[in-house]
Amino acid sequence: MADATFKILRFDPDSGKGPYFQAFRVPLENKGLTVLDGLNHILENIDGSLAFRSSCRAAVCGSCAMHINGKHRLACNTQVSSLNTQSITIRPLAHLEVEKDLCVNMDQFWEKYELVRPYLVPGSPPPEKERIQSQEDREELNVVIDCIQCGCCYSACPVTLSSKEYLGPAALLKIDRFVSDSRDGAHVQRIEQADGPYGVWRCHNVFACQCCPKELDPPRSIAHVKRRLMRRRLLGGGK
Amino acid sequence: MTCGSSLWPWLLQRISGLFLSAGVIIHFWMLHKGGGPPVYEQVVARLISPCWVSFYFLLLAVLLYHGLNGAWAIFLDFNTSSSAKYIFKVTLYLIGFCTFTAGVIVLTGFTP
Amino acid sequence: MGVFVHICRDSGLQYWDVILGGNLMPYHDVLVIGGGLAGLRAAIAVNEMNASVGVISKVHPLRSHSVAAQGGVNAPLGNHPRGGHDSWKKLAYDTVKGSDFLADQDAVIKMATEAASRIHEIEHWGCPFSRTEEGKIAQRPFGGAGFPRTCYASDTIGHALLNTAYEQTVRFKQAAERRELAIYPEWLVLALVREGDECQGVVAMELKSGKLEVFGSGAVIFATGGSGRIYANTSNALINTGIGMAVPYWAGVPLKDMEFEQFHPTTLLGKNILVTEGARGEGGFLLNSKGERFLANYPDSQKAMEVAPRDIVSRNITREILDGRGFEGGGGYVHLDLRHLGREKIMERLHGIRTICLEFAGVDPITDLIPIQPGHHYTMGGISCNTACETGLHGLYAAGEVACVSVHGANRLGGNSLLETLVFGKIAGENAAKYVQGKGAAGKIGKAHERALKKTEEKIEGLLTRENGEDAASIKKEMTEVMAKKVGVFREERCLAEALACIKELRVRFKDVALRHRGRGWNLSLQMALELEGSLDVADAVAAGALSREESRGSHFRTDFPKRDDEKWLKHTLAFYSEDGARLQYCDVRPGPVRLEERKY
Repeated sequence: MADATFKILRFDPDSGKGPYFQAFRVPLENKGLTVLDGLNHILENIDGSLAFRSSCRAAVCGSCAMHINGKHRLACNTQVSSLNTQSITIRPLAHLEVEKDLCVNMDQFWEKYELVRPYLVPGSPPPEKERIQSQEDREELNVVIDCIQCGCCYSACPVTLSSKEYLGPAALLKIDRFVSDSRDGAHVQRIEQADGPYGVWRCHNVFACQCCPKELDPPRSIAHVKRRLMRRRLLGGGK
Repeated sequence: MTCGSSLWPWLLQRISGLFLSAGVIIHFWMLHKGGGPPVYEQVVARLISPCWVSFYFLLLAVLLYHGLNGAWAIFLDFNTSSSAKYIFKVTLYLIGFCTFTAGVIVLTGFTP
Repeated sequence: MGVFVHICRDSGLQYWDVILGGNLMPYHDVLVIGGGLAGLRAAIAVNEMNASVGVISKVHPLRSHSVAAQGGVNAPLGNHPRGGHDSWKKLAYDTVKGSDFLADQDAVIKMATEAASRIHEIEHWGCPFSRTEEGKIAQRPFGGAGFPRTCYASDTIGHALLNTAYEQTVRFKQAAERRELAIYPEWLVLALVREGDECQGVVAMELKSGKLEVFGSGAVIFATGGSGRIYANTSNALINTGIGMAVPYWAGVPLKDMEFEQFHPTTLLGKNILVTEGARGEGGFLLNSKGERFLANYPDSQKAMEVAPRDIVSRNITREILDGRGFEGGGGYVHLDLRHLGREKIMERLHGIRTICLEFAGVDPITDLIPIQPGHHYTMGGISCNTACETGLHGLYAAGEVACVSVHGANRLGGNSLLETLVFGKIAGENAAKYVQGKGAAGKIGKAHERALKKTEEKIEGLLTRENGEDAASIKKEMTEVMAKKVGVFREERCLAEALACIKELRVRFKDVALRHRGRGWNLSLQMALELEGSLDVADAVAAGALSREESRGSHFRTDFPKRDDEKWLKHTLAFYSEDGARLQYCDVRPGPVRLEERKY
């Protein structure tokens, strides 16, 4: 079978050289070859200096998010054959400082994660057994709990680049995750946090964050929080 | 930097946008009615009618709000220092005030 | 596409500022190594006991392998219509029977009695379990369990639990009234600091910069997970290299029962990505090339069929493939059939599996058969410790998959690994915190710290400066392939002896490894070589233990000794590190109320 060409944006702050693209040839041995397999092939057989993150190789840990042929996605669940080309261009996640090659510094992403109180604030003291949650209430969570914090949406969003204080799609989705949870007792404080100038109102509906590899929909969550705020401010009332 | 809820500016921006899309059409339609050049008598008639003058005041105010708030929102997208934000905000208020004053002078100072 | 900007620093970092000679070092009352479920639960327990804690993890905690758990976590809650008569005693019985009686029964009882409160606790913390119609935590049937007691969150329980546990560490970190809880993501622990028979800290390397640092602490908890990556055909994450087992092993702490490696019956053909046991628990069928439910043809699985324990199902699938009733290609496989469950049930309870099948095998379980084969899944063995999670070294604790308490014995039941992390994570944290209470902070670098730092530094320097040596990747490849081929589901003396000889040869060849890259920051080649040394020693302990144990018990099946031999082998293997490889000793299994019996399902 033919080879694929991996064009990778290289950068090593120690080398003193600016960022540059380097091309590698990767044999397409099997049709299931993923971009991550290709990167591992390069690391183990061609260039031992290549740097990238990976862990689960099954699209659940969020380590290997990168920009592949025009889209932010996970290297592990992107099959080379699905890209319909043998020329693959890989860059690190955008808007975040590059530590080396495809490894970016995700500190600001995590800072925003921690800013939104990403934990359940129970509305009542713990019962002896589990809190009761109806199947319908649990179903509300289906569309918000699968986030793997890979950073694809955050890097795709143009507002996170220009506005450093903007919470960004992932953290806003995290707010919605708890606002949608019937067991949480801090809905009001959560939506009020999202009400500031760098919360939901800063979203410009670019919809670039809809590149989520887990097929989550941050704009839906942002709209959900906006609707709740609107209801609260215009009609008054608790939640 | 504004504190508290950003819901109101967001909501007003949309309401003013809706108002403008109707108001601007009325405005243009009135100015260029019938396809021919504006007739002096008709303009005079409008500028002494309290209804029309109120409409123009409203149009001016809403237009200024929409434009300046839009500029402010764009400015917020840039990662600027708080002093730059302050200066820009003051400038926007000044522009708004001066433009509105000029409008008031034109609208109220007209004598046929 | 939007705006696209990369931010690249121009100036380099000042790498390599080693702190020596009485300088201050990072100090925490307790250090937790590993940020998975056991590590985070331990860190929370330490912090709850009002001690400061640092979590050192090779990856960001949310990238840990715990996140990949799919099926569920066991607890006798009795929420299922058929689970009314369930109790901790029945969970304990199933666990001991599942372990083929090699588990220590006091440890199993401890785990079983605490199961319900740990699950309720993490539910109170916000874990989004699936629900029954009454709104209680939903439970499903699992292999080897007498009642449906596996609590699930669709088929992504690991993600649900790990995120909840991490959320709680953030809450603890932010709580002003608490002692410090610090997280050091992307630091690789390479050595223990050992003074006499006391553990006083660790030496770790920051992956971003390559900087070595010595961390001081009153106690250390290892919670670094399994060592699946010593096998080529494993469902484990790429990070599970076993270095976390090797570090205490090098420091003289024995590894227990390493020959017991669990092979999961259903891993996806090719990449060996896990397809949860829940798929069979929900009613999936295993079919051979003739379309038969072949488990009915084997006496040890004819009653329980698809929900027999993993070791039995894995063996029977392998037999089917070896006898030519499987499919050829990719090492042989059979089919998992979920089609009769219907779209609705698959979407509700197995949606993660469907995504995995679509993305990695190109089949849709709603309409297609899933090609599966047994693959390595879990390391039952690990750092030898007692029910208080204490190892032989004072101040060193272990919890989770890296530890061998032992609750899994010769074969772990599905849903028990997550339970172990929660129960023993908490116990390890509490006991470590108790241990350090009363000890003064020792934030100064002592002789032992300097020694450990210097030794690790020399090891890294040696790797970085050596020229013209063998490539680490080729040694790794040989190791993983020989383990998969010769220390797999079926084992026999000749193959095991060959495997052991091969591992020993690889250990010698490793001494001449040279790297392809000599930088310090984000040097993946260096990281791989450092971890490979640990993997080799762990693989050596596995092969040595397997060769020596002349019986078949649980996951360890010797074709030359196909019977369980309680007379001679009802005992734990202890592997001690030596220059020439593992030195084996044996110790007794702690019995309890469950009597020995033949294991049939």
